[in-house]
Amino acid sequence: MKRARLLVLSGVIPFLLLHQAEDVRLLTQIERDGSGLRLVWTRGNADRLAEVRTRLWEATPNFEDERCLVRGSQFILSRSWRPHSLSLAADADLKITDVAQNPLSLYNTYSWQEKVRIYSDTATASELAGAQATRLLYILEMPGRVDPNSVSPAAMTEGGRVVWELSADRSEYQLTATSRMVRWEILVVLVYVVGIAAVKLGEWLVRLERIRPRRI
Amino acid sequence: MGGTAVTDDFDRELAAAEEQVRRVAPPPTSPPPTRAQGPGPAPGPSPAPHPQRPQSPPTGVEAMSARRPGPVARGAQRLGQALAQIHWPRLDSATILYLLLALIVFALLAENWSPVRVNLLGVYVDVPKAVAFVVNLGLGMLLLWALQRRRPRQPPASEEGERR
Repeated sequence: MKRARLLVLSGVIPFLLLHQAEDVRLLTQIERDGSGLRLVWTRGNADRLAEVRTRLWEATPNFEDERCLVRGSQFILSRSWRPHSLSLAADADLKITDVAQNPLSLYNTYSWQEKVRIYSDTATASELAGAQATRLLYILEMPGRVDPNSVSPAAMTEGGRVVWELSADRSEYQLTATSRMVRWEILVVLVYVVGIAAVKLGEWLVRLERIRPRRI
Repeated sequence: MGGTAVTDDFDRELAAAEEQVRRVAPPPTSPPPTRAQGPGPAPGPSPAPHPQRPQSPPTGVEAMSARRPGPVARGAQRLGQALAQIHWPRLDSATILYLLLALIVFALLAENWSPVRVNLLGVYVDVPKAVAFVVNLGLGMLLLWALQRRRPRQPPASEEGERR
């Protein structure tokens, strides 16, 4: 129960984290088997490292530390989480149509839907004044190619990658994207089986032609 | 560098071609007329004119081309020779089955290539599932091998009876 509660927290981005760090990026990488990676990457002024670290820890309690680099007046801090199924992520839904669901298709389909909430209850009015200029970059990487028509809200799409630039003046975003990937390994096995069958059939036909009695 | 090598090759090829022609052709009895002397009759007492023999290429020797096959052509030639030496397996049922098995293993490896996080005493490493599986299998084999090495081998009961 405790773990489930903590997981729910990971779907919420504190507004103060976005406000105190100069650049916040949330990467969701979906693997073909439904597992994946959630990574929160932040960059900012080294004076605010302690505050940002606290906010990041609060927002990502079950994540592992990835990077903590300080160079000059800048810092980079990131934490990641690699679940065996991304359906465990809070307010997220991953639907996969694999061989088991659709054995006759040559494609796997992946549909991702997530509700990203920006929690701003603890922020003061002066901090909230700059909410419109405060951004969160949400990067989604899916197997295969993302269908641009399925992406909502509108975002930059390239291959299997979608990049949303979310403004902190809204408290909730519903992100959706669908991708399609060729089952190339099954395709290779299929091509091999069909090829061998064709070769054997050809050999059999040639043999049949040779042994057929001919009129003299 | 490459240009120099090509030029060297080219010059060597020309020299070899000239050498080949010189070796085959009979040495000239008199020096051939030079351009400085001109095509007209030379001053002074002219030697008796001998009939011109028709010029024919030296027999038995092919004219050597100054062009050598390029690196791609040479590579293709070598590859062709290497491929010709390979004894391709016959397409019998055993070969077909082995190939199919190999393809299925390859497909399974590709399906399970997504990374998994391994916690090594506080250090997190992301490795592909297939690699983790093979490493686990290897560790298990190593453990069994070590256990078998430690245990002294006992001869079978039948051998013991024969010795007695």
